[in-house]
Amino acid sequence: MSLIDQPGTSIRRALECEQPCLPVERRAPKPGCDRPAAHDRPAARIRALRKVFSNTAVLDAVDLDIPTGSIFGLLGPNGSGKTTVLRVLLGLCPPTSGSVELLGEPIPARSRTVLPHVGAVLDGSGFHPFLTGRQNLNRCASAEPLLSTAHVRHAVETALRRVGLADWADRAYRRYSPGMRQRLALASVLLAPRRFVVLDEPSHGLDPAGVYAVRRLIAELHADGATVLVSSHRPAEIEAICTHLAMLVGGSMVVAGELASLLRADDPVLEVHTAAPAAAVAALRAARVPARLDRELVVVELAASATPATSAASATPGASATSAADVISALVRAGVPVSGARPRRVCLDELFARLTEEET
Amino acid sequence: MTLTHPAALAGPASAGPASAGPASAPLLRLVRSELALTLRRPHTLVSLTGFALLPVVIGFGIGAGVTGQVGEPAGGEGRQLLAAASANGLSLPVTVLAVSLALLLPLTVSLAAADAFAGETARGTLRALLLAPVGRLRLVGVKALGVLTVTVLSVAVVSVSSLLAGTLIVGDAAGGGRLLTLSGNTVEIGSALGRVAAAAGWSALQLAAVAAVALAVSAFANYPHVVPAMVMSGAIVSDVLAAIPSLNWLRPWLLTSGWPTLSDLLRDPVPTDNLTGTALIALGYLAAGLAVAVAGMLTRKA
Repeated sequence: MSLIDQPGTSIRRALECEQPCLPVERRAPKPGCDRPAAHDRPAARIRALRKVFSNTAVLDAVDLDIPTGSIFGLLGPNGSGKTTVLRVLLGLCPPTSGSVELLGEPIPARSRTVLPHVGAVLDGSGFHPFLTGRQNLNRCASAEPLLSTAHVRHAVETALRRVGLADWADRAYRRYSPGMRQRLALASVLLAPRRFVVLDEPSHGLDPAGVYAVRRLIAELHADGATVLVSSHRPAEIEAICTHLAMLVGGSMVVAGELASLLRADDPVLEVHTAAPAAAVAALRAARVPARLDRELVVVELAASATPATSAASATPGASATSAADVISALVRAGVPVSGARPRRVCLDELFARLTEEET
Repeated sequence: MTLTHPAALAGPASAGPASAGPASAPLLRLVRSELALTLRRPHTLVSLTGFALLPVVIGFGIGAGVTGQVGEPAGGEGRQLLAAASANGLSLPVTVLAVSLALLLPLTVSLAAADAFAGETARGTLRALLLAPVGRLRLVGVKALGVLTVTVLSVAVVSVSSLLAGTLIVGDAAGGGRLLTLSGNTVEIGSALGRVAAAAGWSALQLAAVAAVALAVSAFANYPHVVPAMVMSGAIVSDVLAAIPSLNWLRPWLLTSGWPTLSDLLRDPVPTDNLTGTALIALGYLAAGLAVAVAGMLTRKA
């Protein structure tokens, strides 16, 4: 039985007890520059954001904190308002109400001073079809405030090389494949030093090599010290690259926090692989351990207080405090052959499917 | 990867407050980039080529008409101008400018203005400029310069090409490099060239006014084709309004109704009243168009 079939268990609890975007353990932006939490301002902060387009609230009561140094995933189904959040955050359109801060400055009031440090690729961003890749990038570079004129040329060539377009730089943009177009968009982010990078669906329409290249670039930007905000409608994408995530459904934030803690189930479930599942369930029930059969797997609900690490030392088995070690020793005592056992984790795909399903 | 970035030498790296560093790219660099974009645009190049060829075609047509029959010369302003050009090559620039002012030149400048904001929005390239960021006021200025460049270039190409076509193909019946005016007398080559320059300058100003109005439409439009459609509709509506007798009071304030004044430059002496009046009206349209374009850009969502 999967977690989806059990409303009101670990996922719900994980969501309810998670404070919006205030992770307990935070990954430091760079090794050796830990600062006291009180002085650690988030790279972006959104409070009570509401955005109305022609009488329809596209965003409502959105709160968001993006910790400095995180790779933050903004996850949501199509039409959930992801791109609108990004546009408001970048000062491209004003919020109907609520407050927005980027790199410590209010947006859109101080956009001009913040945006030079921000690189962004938004959905629907494009280039001039009759210009070559290099000419297009030159045009982007000439508008970058932080790039001195003497360095424009070098910055363009370096960016082209980093995204693997150096050999295609003199081809007209209209003859670029979708993957090459996406790479050129990413190259525009690399033109100047960035403290904050926004990527809207960066892997959209890319082949596996392209997806890998995007992930590598995100890692490089992050290693250079940038906070990266990535939007996607694909949970697997977010799970693969992000340290933090927020989920937007129907214009509201339904969950936010550190990826690792969101995926950690409150009630750990142990999956036991065995050649004799029926005998295993019988043996566990005899030892007063609640077990059930899920296809070929034996599924054991471990008590909330007992995690494998803490209960390894505890020698007293009981219905209220079962540990993985207890389960396995009970099985071994009963002579059931155990070929493997591992804790089941909440999968972001399931979490996403469940939350978006409830909405519709 | 930390220090390999070339721009790390130019601006502050990831440390320090967000306000550090310049807030805008150098204006000259932006203008240069805009001009490079404008002059690489295929339809701009096609238009300029067309404007180079048009006087040649008209010149050959008129040249053939001189040996054949010229038609009835008393058929109105346009025919009068064509008849004048057929008699004298030096009047060809004014004739071709007057002909192009009816449709081709306004269309070209409104296409350039359409690209400026609406076209860049439709392609998703305006957003990149606003995110760089380029200040919105500065952006209007840079874009206006780009459109002005197309305007001036178009008029210059028409004028120079028709001057060449006029002297080389049509020749001058008046002889000795003299311009035969509509008033019947001839003027010296220096004065003739001065009149061509004045016609070009006056036409460029009228077109700059059209371009400013088109830029204003472009600042509010999301699709580029809206802009030439609106400008051409405006020109037609203003012609219709000018033709209604009860609206005679409106006539002097309409931009297009002043355009036949161009032929005044082929008279001797040149009656300057209407030329300066229409120039002032054009300046008014220019200022109003730019003001609306600024307002549109400042409130525009991207």
